[in-house]
Amino acid sequence: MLKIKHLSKVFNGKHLKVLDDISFQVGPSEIVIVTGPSGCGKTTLLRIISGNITHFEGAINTSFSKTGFVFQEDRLLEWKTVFENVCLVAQDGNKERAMELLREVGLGGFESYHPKDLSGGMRQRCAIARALFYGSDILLLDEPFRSLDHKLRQEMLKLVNEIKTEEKTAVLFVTHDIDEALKLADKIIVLTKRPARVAGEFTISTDTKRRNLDSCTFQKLKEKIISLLEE
Amino acid sequence: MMGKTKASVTALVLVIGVWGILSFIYPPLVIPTIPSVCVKIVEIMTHADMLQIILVSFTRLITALTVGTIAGFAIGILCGKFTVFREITGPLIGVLQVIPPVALLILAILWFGFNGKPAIFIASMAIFPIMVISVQHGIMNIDPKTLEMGETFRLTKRSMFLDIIIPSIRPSLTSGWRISLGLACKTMVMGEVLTTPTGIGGALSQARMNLEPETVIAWTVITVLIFYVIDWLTKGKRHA
Repeated sequence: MLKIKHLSKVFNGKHLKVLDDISFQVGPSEIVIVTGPSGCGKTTLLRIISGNITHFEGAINTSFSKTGFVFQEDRLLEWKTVFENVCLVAQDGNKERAMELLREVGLGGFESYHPKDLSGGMRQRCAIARALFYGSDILLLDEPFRSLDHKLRQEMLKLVNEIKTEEKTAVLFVTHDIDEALKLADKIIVLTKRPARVAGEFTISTDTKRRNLDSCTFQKLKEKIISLLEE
Repeated sequence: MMGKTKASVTALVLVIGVWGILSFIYPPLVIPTIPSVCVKIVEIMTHADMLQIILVSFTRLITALTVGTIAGFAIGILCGKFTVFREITGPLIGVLQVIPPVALLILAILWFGFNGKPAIFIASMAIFPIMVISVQHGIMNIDPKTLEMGETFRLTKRSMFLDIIIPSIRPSLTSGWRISLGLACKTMVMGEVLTTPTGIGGALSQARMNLEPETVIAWTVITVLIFYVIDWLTKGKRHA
């Protein structure tokens, strides 16, 4: 369980308040999606949770021991192959599993390529495979599917759902795509513009396979989220 | 675009061409002929004593490179990582860059005497600031996002160093190393000329006293060959 309590963050001395009294929880095997206007502080929130930013107000209590991260940029090492980039994060890990993950993200056959030889979407999928190979019990995803086409996005969303159900990994996912959030989330957190506060929290109990985004319930939910984002 | 080999051959042909023309114009005492220098090189390379001379200089060069590079690398890392360290050592590194090697050589003679050590000392001191600046520059230009990735995935210190830091600073390290190698060859031979009758510098002194310009050029060519041999030996590592 990850518990975020009254989290606030100010940059540049006290001039730039980015996060203001944010509180929510992420349970085991739960997909929580955070959405909000551009520049509201979603990435800062993930960086605080991952431990990359250590100075903040409030408290973060977590029982998760390993935190995986798919950054907005792929952050691959140019001097390593695709396979080496994946294996880097768990050097004693099962290499067969690394190959399997690369096949799952559609990079089978590209193991010996270097990042410079891959397209933007392929690089991002390699970064996803790397985060999955890390074997975390909570996975942070910062708009990871931006550079993917529709078909690949759907495949990646399916993969995230499988990680949650099969590997019991919790997922904290930042996205601007409301449909993506409605398809995947157990809980959606809507943030206001900077300084970000929680504008709304919505729990979706319908099984992901049975969700119909055209249904009245989901349309109403979507309208609510949009209205909060437009405030 | 001209290929690398083609460009090298063209440069060599140009040098030999200009040299050939000049050797026709000037007497052999001023510009020795190409055949006389070639004969001298073969003579040196096939003579056991001469090989001993090369080995002495080669050992001194390797010693100077090892000392200067390791010290420069260590201080460069500290300068790159810690601002306080960089601010303290910055002016000292600047001073070391400006001090004429000959001034250092005089001090080194007082400290070590007339043997090969002053030559090793000035070559080490010549490359030390270059390595410091190269490594410091490399460390300061490592992409912080890459380091953050490593920290997020809790890479071990060893892995951070070998998988991220060293490959990230490799371009700066490579250019620093190439400059250092050339400079070490030059200063080391100069140090030998002025302080010891042994090694390539000693042989050059002897040739100067005997008025043998072809021997001077032959030893110079051998020094250049030593540079290229070391450069070639370390190239594989640099490009790995």
